[in-house]
Amino acid sequence: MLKIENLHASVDGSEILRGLDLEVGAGEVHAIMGPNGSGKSTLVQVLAGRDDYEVTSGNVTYCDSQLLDMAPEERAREGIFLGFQYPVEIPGVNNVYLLKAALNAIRKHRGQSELDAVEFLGLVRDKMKLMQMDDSFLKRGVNEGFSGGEKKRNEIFQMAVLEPRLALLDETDSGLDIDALKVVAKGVESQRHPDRAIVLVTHYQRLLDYIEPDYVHVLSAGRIVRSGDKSLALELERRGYDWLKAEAAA
Amino acid sequence: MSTPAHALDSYRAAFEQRVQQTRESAALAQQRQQAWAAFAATGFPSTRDEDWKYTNLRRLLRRKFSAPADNPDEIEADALAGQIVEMPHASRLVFVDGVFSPHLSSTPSDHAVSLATTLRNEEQPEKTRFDNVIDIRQHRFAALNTALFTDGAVINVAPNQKQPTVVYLVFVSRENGHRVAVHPRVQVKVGNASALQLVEHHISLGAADNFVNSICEIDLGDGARVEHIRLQDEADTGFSIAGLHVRQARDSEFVSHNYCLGGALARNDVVVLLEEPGAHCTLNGLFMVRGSQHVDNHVRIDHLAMHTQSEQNYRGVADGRARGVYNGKVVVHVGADKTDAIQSSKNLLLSDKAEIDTKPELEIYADDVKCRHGATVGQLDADALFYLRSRGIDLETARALLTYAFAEDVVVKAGADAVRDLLDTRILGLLPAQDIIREFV
Repeated sequence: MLKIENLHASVDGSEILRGLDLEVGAGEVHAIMGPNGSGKSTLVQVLAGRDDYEVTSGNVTYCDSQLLDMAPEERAREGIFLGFQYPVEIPGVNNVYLLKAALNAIRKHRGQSELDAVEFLGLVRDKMKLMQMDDSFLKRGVNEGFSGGEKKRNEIFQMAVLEPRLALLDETDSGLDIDALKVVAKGVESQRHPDRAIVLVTHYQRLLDYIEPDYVHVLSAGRIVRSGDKSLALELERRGYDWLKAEAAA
Repeated sequence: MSTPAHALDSYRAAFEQRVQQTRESAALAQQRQQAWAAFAATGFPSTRDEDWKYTNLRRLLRRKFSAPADNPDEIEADALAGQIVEMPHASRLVFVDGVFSPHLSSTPSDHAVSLATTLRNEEQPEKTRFDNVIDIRQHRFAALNTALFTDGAVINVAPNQKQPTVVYLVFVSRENGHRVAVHPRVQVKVGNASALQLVEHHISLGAADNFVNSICEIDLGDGARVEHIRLQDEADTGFSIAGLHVRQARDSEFVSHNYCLGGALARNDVVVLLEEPGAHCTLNGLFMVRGSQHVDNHVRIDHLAMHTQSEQNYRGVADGRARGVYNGKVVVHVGADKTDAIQSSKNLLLSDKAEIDTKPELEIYADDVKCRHGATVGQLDADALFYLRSRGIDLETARALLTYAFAEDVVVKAGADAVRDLLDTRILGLLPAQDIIREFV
């Protein structure tokens, strides 16, 4: 589904990604771990199309398309979803109307009919229950006045409604207490699907207690320095990142 | 004299004609003489005047304007459909190129009458005093208005009315064979403990390029409440100079919503005197300009007594090569302790050729006061744009949506549903992708 080859990206002239390779197949859950500043967030932002980052070389194919040629909104319509580490507050833009517009943009792109308000509300009710969100979420501005936990739940709620092919979840666990973490993890788990790939970016092993990844990758200084199965995450938990940094430098 | 003498000629001629042909009271004639003298002493302001440094009047002064006909051709009510709003409980007064039009207006009421009617009534003029609130030496367009006004509205709300009075004034500026200069005057007095909602709506028929120099003078009694909504939605060929001058007595409340969308050149002065304890005012403003429009908002609030409050919330959006100005000055005078004043000016530049100058100012001569101010000029939030795009919203729609949300923050404050709806429609009309954005309203 996703193939990244020798990806280099920089921001304001400093190189963050330095030759990153990664392949993700349908139905797989990948965890990308690594110390602060290793390029984890940059990777998913580049994949979602944030133009603050300059891709200096490399190639990314997504479902047989050249991903890097596509505008962010085209990527979204082609089924890429980015769950933000810091979801943006947008006062004056209604949370649920945005979601309806987003869903209809995707449906239109796929040649499906657009949903009207009633059909849409029917669809979102179940997903709201799943994410333990009350009706006030329907009326508020996008993330406006949401707590940290509510913002993250809202991201996973959006993902559940939009049903992406490739979900990129950027530090979805950060800033959550254990109860909120369980809700978010359950939401993500429910989205596991043979046609869908999920890439989890996380600093801590904690999230992986609730979402079992098929693959774990360690990112250091802009490259993947080690890949393995879930046992790698446990090893990182025990030994920290320094030994890998040392190995990578050697 | 800062204005070349010949630039004043047509105005002087209009003034001389005015004083000769009317049978006005001696008191009013004297006021007009004083006002003309105050205006003629310095003429039109220039960019050397601190209060006019961002607004060059060259475009206005280059043009010749004549006086409108006393009996203009009638226009059909249909011509205004869609441009004006239905306000069921309001007295509506419509003015076409400055002249009151009875057939476009609602049945006359006691509390809101045309000024020309008042001036013709021999008993009335003595009761209606002008420039009580305005310092005509400071405000030269106000002086010009006093010297030259011929029509407008006189609104008197008696004290202790249980129901709020609602008045809807429509000023229509027409595309004529020749440009006209009109000086509408609105004179408002609200008695103790009574309430007024006043909507002042300026529109155009066709690409009108007239000069509309309007003054609204409002005097609030003890505990009175006034909401003033001004919607300037003229063609972007017009010249609109407006002064709103307010005096507030004890515990009175004044709320202004100043929406400015039209005009080639628009200038709004809002001046509030908080004269007695407990008086408070809230001044909201929104301008949206594009093309080569120029809009200048000047707000001045004088805190003259203890326990007075003021709040300003102005927002501006400039696209194309347009220019916007906000200058808000709060003066806390000696003895006006416990003053509470907030000023906020937020501005959005949608193009790199647009310009917005914002300047909140505070002058404080009292010790125990609480004053805050803030001003920002920026572009659309890049994080919010990316967030919307990452949800499949295209760039143009995302930009329009954020612009709409920015403007809407001030629109929702207006207390008249019909005006809010019209504003929504007008603002959406200025943005691309309005059908999609409408879903979000």
